Parts: sequence; C-alpha cells; structure tokens
Amino acid sequence: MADKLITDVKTIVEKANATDLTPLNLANGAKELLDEVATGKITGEEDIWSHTDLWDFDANLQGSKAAVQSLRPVLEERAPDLVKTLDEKFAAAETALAAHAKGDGWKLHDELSKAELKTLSDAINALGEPISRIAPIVAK
Amino acid sequence: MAQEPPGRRRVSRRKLFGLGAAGAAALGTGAVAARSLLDEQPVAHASSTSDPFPFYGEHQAGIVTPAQDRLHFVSFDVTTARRAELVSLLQDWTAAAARLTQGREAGSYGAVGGAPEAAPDDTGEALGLPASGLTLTVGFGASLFDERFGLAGRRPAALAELPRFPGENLIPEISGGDVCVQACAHDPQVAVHAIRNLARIGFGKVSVRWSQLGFGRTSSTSRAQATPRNLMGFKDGTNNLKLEDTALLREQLWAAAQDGQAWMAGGSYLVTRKIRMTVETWDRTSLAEQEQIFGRTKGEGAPLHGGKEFDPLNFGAAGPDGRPAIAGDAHVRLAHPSFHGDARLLRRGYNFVDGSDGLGRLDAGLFFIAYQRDPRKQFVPVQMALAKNDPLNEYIKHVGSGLFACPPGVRDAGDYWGRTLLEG
Repeated sequence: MADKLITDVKTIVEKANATDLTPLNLANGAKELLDEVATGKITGEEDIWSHTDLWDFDANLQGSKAAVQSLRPVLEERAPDLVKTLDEKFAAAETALAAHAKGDGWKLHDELSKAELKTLSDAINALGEPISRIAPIVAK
Repeated sequence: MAQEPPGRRRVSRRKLFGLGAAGAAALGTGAVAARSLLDEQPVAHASSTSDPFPFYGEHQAGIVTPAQDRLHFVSFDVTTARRAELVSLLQDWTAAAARLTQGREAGSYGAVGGAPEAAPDDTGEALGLPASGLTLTVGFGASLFDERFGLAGRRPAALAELPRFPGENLIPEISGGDVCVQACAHDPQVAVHAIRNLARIGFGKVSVRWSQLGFGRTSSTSRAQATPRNLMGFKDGTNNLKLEDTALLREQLWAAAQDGQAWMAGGSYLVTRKIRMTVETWDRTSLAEQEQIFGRTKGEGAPLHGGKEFDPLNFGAAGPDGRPAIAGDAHVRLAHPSFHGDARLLRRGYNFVDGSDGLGRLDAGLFFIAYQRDPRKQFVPVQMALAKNDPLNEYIKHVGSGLFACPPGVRDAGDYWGRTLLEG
C-alpha cells in the first residue's frame, strides 16, 4: 500500500514536470486557485471536519503567486500598472492571512470570527479581480 | 475615467437585441452593429416603464423621480485607505452608472463584446432588457468622515448620528456603512444587475456591508402616481412630499450652501430604516382596530372623520361617540407635520419579504427610505414621537438603520459622484 502510494506520487510528479503550461494556462490557473479559496476555503466547507482550511488557503495563494510570477516579464512589458496592483494585493492577502498564523501553521477555521473571515474574503476578492485581467493580456 | 474604444459606445442593450434576426450576428461583430446606434439620445422623462431617466442634472436622480416599482439598496464599507483610490472608484462608478441608467452595459466591451480570454466587463443578466427607469443614487455615511480620507472637517452637522429610539433593536451588520447606492427600477433584474456590477467594480476598494431588495414601492413621489400600499394593507405616503411641490422641495428636501457645508448644495439627506413587521398578528387584528391605529380607512385611505384620501386631516373632528374621530395616538396624527413644526419627508420606501424566519412567519416588512434637508429637524422628531406612542409598535420593530449625505447631481461626463466633497 505505502509502496504503491510512493509510486503513484512519483508518476504524478513526472507527469506534472512533463506538462507544458501555456501562459494562458498559468493565468487561468492563478485565477482558479483563488476561486477555490473564495468558494470553498473561506466558507470552511472543504475541510468541514478537519477545519484545516487555512493550510489550503496558504497553499493556493502561494501557487497562484508562483503562476503570476512566471508571467511577470510579459506583464511588466504589457501592463506595468497591473503588476503594481497585483504585487500590492498579493501582499495584502498574505498580511491578512498572516494575522491567523499559529505555531508553525494556522488557526483552525472554526477559531475565526465572521468579521475575520470577511476580512480574508475581501482580500481574496480584491486580488481575484486584477488576476482575472491577466489572461487576455498574456493571450495577445 | 475609462476611455471607451471608438465604435463600441452607447450600445443600448435593447437596441442590440432589437435587431432580431441580425442579433446573433451582432454578438459576434459588436463594433459593426454598434456603429449605427451611436449617440442615442435619452428621452427627457420616462414615459413608459421601459424608458430611461436622464442621469446628469442639478440633483441626483432617484429622489424626486416618480418612485419605480423595485429596489436594490446596498451599503459598502470602504476598505482602501487611500483617498486617490476612493476618488478613482467614484469616477469609475459614475461612468458605469451613466451607462447603466441609459440601458447600456457596465463596461465598454460589455457581456459578449470583449476578448474570449477575458472575463466580460458586464455580467450579462440585463442583456435584452430596457433601461427600465433605472436610477442610481449615491450617499456618504457619517463613518466616511473620519481620519482616513481627511474628510472630518467636511462632515455636515445634519449628518449627526441618529439618537437611540425607544423599542428599536438595531443589528449592526445591517446598519450604517461608509457609502450607499440606491438602485430603483421597474424591473428587479435591472436593479440587481446595476448593484452587482458596481460591487464588482469596487472589489479591493469597497466591500459590501449589507444590501436589501424591495419588491414593491410603498410611496408615490408624484401626483401622477396612485398611492401604493404597505404590507399592512394600508395606503402609505398619502401626505408625502412630491415632485410637483417645487417650493416645499426647496425648503424641506434640498440642502443649500448656507446650511453649513457648501459641497452638499443641491444634495439631500437619506435615512433608511429596515422595519420588520409581524404581519401574522396584524392580520388577526380587526378592521376597526387597524383603522384606529392608522387613523385612516383601509379601503380609500380617507381620514376617519370622512371625506376622500387627499382631504386634509381634521384632528378636532369628533366621531359618533363624541371622541376624536382620529385618536390622539393614531399613526397619521403622531407623524403629522402640524405637530412637528411643519417637518415633511420625501418617502420612497419599499416592501420586502426576505423569505421566512424559521418560526413559520414571513420575514417581511418595510424598507423605509426618506430624503430631507435636515434629519435633526425632520426624521428624528417624527420618529421619536412614533417610537414613544404609536400603537403600531406592537406589530413592528426597527432592525436596521442608515444615514447618508447624498451629494448634488453629476453635471456632465467630466463630473463624478462626490466631486464637490473630494475636490471642492
């Protein structure tokens, strides 16, 4: 069982590394990672039993940031103002999340008040709109 | 303000789809189809429930505008700390509002005219619908005038916090807010579309604090309109300030420079109250008692001493039993201008039903909206009298509250909502 799991993980990594992601894939991926945060993780629905939504929140945010980072050269050339906005909104979302760091991880979803969740939701919405503007720019 | 690409301007949603068979082709070639529809002029006054009202003017539309049938009201908290971002948001909103109120789309590309890789700059649910008399009216809450944007010195005295009224049970989450937008239209889809698109434009700068749908108007703001009914079944707003009362409007509705803050000249103060009604117990109340409580007949809306709906109220008139026909604590008497230094309000409230409350009752009531020159002299004394003595209080509870300074109208395409406040 454990061996099979390790083999499968290796296969996934190999396949992932072999995949060529287009700029459009990356742009849409950056947006979709944040959409997942907005719909499933802010609400606590995804980890309804473990309440570890903020771990996923963090992973999605970093994944989205990495995807945007890979598009940075083309964005800086075609839409410098958008890069500035994205940097600012990524930083704001990271700051909002950092308020809930606990130990080497995060607070559990059910430890957050409704007002704290709204602050996180606002930060993700503030980032999601400019991220949705990347795709048509890199698709040109 | 956003530049509009040539050839894509002023496409009416209705015209675009009114092309009929050509409509499908027009979707793919918006720019071509749009060219022949440029510079469509709005009519001066809506003559049907489909037509637009003018957006630009001395006063904001949506105040004396004959009350439309539907409402979507939203209150925002400003989340940006930068004054420049607040200004650019108000400019972007104004540009979108100028388009939306004329039946056009929120952005210059629209729901289907942009690049396929891009998220559309209009959400699309109003495609094919006419302007539907949409008006968008903006207001600024007292909380905006704090240290964040350097506006503390510009807070009008009339924007004083409302006092606590006896019996109210306000829920903070559905009260207050830094900025509000009132969307009124004859089609609820058009009103919701407008608020949804403004909220979207605002992401990162504002966050929706609360919003309220209203499904039916409870006031008339023009003598050409019949008086509608509230959910208690009574005509509401018979004695309302109306569009035609020009002198009274100047005296009681519009703020003037000499009131203290010149930026509000031509503006008005808005009070909103979400009033929950326990309609179930009201419905078990006898007709005679219901009429006693209001002081008017339920059918005609006439004073209880007789006559017609618009006849003046005579509080000295006696009934058959020798006592006053209109009781001393009747709703119409407690609220009557003659007991409040002739204080009048321009009411344009809406009935709401937010589903049910889990206890087998409708979550229903009145979303009260009133415009005036100074709430301290108008809404506050009237509401204090009602809160203390109105027998109607047995059936109603105030659960939400808002107070906003609505700036003067947007003069032209170079102007924007709140310019007199932020640049004056």
